Amino acid sequence: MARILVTEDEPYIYKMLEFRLNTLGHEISLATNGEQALALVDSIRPDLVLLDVMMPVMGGFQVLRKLKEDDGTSSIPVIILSAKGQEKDIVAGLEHGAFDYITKPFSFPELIARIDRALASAK
Amino acid sequence: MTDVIFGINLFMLGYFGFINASYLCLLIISYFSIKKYRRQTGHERWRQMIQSPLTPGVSVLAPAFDEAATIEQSVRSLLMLKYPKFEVVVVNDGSQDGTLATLKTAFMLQPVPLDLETRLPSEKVLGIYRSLEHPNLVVLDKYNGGKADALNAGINVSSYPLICSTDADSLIEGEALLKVVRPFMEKPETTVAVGGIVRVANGCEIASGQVTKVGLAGRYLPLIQTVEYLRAFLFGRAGWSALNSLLIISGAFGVFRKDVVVEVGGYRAGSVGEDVELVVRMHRHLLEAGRKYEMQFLPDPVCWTEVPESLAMLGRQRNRWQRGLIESLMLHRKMFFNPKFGTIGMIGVPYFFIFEMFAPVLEIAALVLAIASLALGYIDLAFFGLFMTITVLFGSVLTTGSVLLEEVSFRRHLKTTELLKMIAAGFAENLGYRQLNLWWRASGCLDYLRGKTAWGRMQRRGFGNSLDGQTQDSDRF
Amino acid sequence: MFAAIAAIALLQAIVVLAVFSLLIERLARNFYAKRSEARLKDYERHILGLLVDPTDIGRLQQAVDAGDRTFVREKLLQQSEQLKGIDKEHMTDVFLRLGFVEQEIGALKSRGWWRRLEAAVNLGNMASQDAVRPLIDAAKDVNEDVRLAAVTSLGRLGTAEGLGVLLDALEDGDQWTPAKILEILVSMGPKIESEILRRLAGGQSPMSRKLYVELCGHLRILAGVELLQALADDTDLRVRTAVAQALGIIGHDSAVGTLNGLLADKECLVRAEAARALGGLGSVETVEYLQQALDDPDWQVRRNAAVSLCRLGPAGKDRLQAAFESGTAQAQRTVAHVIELDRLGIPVIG
Repeated sequence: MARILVTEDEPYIYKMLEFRLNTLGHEISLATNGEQALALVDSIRPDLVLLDVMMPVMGGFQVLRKLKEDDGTSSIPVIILSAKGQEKDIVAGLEHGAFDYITKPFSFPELIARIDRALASAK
Repeated sequence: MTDVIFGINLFMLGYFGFINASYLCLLIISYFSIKKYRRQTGHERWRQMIQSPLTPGVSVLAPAFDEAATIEQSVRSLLMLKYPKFEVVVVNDGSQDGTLATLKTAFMLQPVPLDLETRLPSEKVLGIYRSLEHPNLVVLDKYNGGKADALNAGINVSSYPLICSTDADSLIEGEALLKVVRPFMEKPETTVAVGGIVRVANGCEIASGQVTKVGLAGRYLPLIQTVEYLRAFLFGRAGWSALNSLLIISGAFGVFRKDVVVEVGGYRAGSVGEDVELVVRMHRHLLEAGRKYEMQFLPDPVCWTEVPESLAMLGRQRNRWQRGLIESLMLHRKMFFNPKFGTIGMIGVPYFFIFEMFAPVLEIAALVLAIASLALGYIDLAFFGLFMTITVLFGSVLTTGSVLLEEVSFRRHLKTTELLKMIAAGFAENLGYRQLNLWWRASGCLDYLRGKTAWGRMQRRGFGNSLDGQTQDSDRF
Repeated sequence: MFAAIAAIALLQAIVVLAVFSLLIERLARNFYAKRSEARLKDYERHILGLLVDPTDIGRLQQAVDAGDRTFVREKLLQQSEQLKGIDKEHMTDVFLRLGFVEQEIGALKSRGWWRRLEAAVNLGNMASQDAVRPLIDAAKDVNEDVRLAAVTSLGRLGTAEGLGVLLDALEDGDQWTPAKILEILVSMGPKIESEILRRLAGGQSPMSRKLYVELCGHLRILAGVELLQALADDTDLRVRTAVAQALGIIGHDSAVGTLNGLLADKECLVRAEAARALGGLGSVETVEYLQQALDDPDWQVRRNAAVSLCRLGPAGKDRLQAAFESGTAQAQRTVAHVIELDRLGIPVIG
């Protein structure tokens, strides 16, 4: 199915995402900070990026901007998965070029539906 | 004659007995207060707070002087703090090494027209820069005026009601800011200052501005300092905080209510120990005004700092700390045994006067006297043995106590061997380090008397590289 | 003399003993952790498995029966914490079926306050409505931390039944607890509006008035605008500041007059908040007042006024330009700063 890059610094959330998305046949990779995320995007060319905005080293928005600036990666849909849920945060995320914005805590049916939609749009 | 010398020795014995007994009391008080704190906050859902619009904004002030080598990394690390509403104010204090240029390219800085409120006096501000990349980064460029002056300038440009003082080369843990702001929200009327714990980063694994794995330094000096910091914070500071007589909040990581800092006149420019002085002055001012207030130390929000590994640097640092302490205490000597100032006047300040300020002089005198008395046969071996036990071993036992306090509470050091090493370090401290420290502090006293207030310069290795940088400040514990 | 030596020896012996016992405990714990690692991994897999099949709790039931209760509970709580919606409901079901909800309700009556605190927090996370009554009782606990935890959990359970107790507990001016549950209160929306309005009208102490003003704002209760306006001349400056803020958040045009009035308040905090709030209303009527506020003696007021003018679009920006050309020196500085940031697309902090 799809290759999904998850950037998340909370180990248990990653475990949940990995487990659940694996059962759907997706291939999951993990980056725990922004720099790693960019390096992994280059090496594995994921079909989708699930991005936490609050990460060490390089924040999510910065990663997002770099992804969108690069022609090779600008078409990869990015879904932000963040604990920040205020209106201004969501607006900022979408303005930075995110395909979608999901706030934590989240529910899998919703997440999966949004992932499917993002993947379909990228095709 | 014999009687007199024996009497003096006995007095010294009593002095050390008393100092150790008070440490023991502090240790016990700290144990209970840390345990209570753990139980209160153990289930706190810190991450959930990140969404809340009710958290007060915090201006994180990072003074920088000639730190081109490390500044980018430390600012990036600050920008990643997990807190809903904060700004990072970097104050370039007239650096000569291109610190500002480094910042400009690293963060896409743009000069913007000056607009700041002169709440506090400071050296002339040359310019304000904002980042196109990070909307919450402010860089202030000013003429050199020392750390206190830089902090004051930072306060002038800051936009939020709370300020957090940091060192440009300490690392504040991600959630530490939320933890340290908690008292300000729980008791918004009375909380005026909160300090976090400073821990030694030497020996820890650091990746991109974050401590990724806690470890212990292998070398003697940093290892001993690791234990020394634990002791100073976990039972010193935690104990004083429980007595509401916290006299020191580390300059490396302390959060203050800005209106109160401005009200007392900000940091004292040219001060050697501006962090101690500010806290003492705040106490004095608020007590004189008869206001109800609280200052707290929290044992959990962590700031990691790189401590000096060379004798010369460490010596200079301790010399300066001692001068800073004396300076602050002498400025506010009015509080000494003054019942008007409550617990602080009657216990806190006298304690620091007697046991911190005079300690090095007294301890050296006592050692010399005891050895001389023994050599001349004025006292017998049994007395000498007792003397040494009280002064030396008992201190180590208390150090062990603080290591245990860490073990029963936060357990950052996961390996059993590390625990053993720290306990051993508590004893090894007596072989050389303690004497050296005494010497440095005593020379600090002498330098103070000679009126030397110039900055001790200190070299740092910096995080993530081995370039030598110089800084005018370092992290007090 | 002898006594002193003996005392020191005794103390040292105690510390040595403590060191030893801790070391042994630590070693034992490490050893035990190593041995049970495989088993716990297996549990964790099953807990993650609940994300696919929430009814498959056989293995977990065994684990609970075998005495690994604490581990299973902590892992389940950790998972539940991250979830919402249908997944959260499934987790609640698991907590109920494994008997954890019942256990925690029982623990609300423990002797140790820290255990009661833990139970209160956990019940909020387990999200079972069975816990509402016990939590309402726990909101009257003798220990303050337990009370606040119970209140927070009541908030998380999102039931209107506990609302009265919850609001009572928030009235003492603590900001931490409201901050934790604000989002949930907001999501409860219309269910709690009338209660908040009722309390807003009858607020006794300044702190409680401030709380309800804040809630009214963050919940964007349109019906509260009139009541808020009535509080604009409250004697307490914190209440007035909160009123300005709340009116700004709600952003209803009818508040322009009140906010313009607050721009002339004697406290700069209130003026600053009013200047900020006016930017959110988007009413052109206000530019005159905001331009005057550019000459305010207080820096924050000037700055907020400039930012608000900037947000008001062309009409506001004209005024800024005018102030930049002919205002006082202070106003010119502030305006220059704000205009340049606007040009660069960098937000003004604060």
